[in-house]
Amino acid sequence: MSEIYQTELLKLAGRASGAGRLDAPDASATAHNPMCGDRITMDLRLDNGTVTDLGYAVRACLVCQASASLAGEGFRGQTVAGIDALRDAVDAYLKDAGPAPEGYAVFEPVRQHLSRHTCVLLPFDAVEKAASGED
Amino acid sequence: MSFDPAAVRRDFPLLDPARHGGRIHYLDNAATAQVPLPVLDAVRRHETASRANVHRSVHRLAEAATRAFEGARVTMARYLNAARREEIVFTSGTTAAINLVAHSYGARMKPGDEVLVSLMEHHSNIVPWQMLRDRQGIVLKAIPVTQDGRLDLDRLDELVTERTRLIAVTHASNVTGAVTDVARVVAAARAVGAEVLLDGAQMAPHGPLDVQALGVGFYACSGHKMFGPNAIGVLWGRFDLLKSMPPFLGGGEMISHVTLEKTEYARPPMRFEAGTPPIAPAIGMAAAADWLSGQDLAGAEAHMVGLAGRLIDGLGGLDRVRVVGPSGLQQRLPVVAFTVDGVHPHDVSQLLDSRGVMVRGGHHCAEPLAEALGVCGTTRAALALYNDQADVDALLDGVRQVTKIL
Repeated sequence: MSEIYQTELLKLAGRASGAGRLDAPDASATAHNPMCGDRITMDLRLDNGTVTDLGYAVRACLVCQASASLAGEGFRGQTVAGIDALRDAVDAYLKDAGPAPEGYAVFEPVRQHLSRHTCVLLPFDAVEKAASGED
Repeated sequence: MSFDPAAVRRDFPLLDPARHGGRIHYLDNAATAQVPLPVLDAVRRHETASRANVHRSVHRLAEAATRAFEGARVTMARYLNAARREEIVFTSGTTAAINLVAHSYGARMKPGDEVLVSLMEHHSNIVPWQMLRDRQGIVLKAIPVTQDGRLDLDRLDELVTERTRLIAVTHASNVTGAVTDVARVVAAARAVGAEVLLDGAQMAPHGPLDVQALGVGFYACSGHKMFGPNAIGVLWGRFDLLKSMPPFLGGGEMISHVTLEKTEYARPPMRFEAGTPPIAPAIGMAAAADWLSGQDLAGAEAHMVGLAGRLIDGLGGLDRVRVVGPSGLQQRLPVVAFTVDGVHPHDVSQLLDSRGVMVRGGHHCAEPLAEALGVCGTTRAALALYNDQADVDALLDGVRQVTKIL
């Protein structure tokens, strides 16, 4: 078995923190992984650029589910700009160009699989898309 | 230690005299340069150890192929000093790169908008703009050339107008070797808010470039002219420009999400890389860029300038022979085109080949330039860093013979 699928990642994906759509969100967008067709629809409630609540529907692999769950646990109370900066930090970590942001060390085995980096980053892309009103 | 072309030649299996029954004098480098072993090794390594499609499967071969392909993108970004790797779009060559810009950047142009090219362009930087003119009603204008084969930039003031959207010119001529004064072109473009595209097919083989310092919007170059494989090239585009452009070709890899009704496109660069990309050629092109970057480029430059001077002086001393293009060595590449009065360039080339000297004769895909210079064609010798005095002297001896025979 690949070392990607460690207990911690499976538990994180299983918790599915924050899963479920919001009623009347301020912003909403779907991000797609072009490689496999996976997708996550992210709903945001925003107050002056700060995420006060979020919900999502995800149809994706375990890696993406785990990342979505981390988003559900950590994005509330953060600014959209802060989440964008966190995306850059996670991307850098995956590319061996930076330390693991808090909580994201669970993706350490994913780093060597370039094709799976998008799975981790998809929830961030959905937030960025929603906040920019792209969808 | 002085630059040693013999040491460079040892990297090139094709130049080994044993393969040809004697020394060959390859001087057709402006058409295609030869390939050194590190490039062949890189391509062979990929094809024998990690051949798979990229950005699709998750198995180990696909992973290795994707890493190598994206690594090639990073290498080319470094070679061109791009601000970010996403500014590097792999294409099949310079021609495809310019067609991409004409289609996608050109899609935003309106009837009456102007694109300024020059009379010195390769057909690949003329025809795509004529096609855009015919599709969208833009106005195509051209910078003339001086009689010594340089862009007549004194005419920029009258040619650049408020309707100019793009100035698309060569960075260095594939016929006369003249290097364009890019700063003047960029200043003229900026004065009216236009962008500049440089055809870098001839300049890129001469060492790393700095697209940011050049101040242009687009830069196009080819792998096969810079000691890499053919069927590969790069379009560099400033990210804000690429991001604002619609796709060129449609298909796999350039999408984010597809339904039968509509498609959401991927971000650059993948938005412009429809279908399976030229994976091994891209890896080879990056290996060529690395190989070139590792050469003594200052030494190579001095070496080639010396050879070009010897060639120009030698041709100038021959009866009925006239060098077409700048007579000096400043701001020119070691590309030397010439005519032999009363002899067709193809006949010159054929006779030279019989003496093991390989050059190109004809209009060099630049018919408007030949017309402007009043020649039906020229014979062209283009030097690379593996050429030496023996190559130049073999050419001069050959041309001397041509003038005696024909």
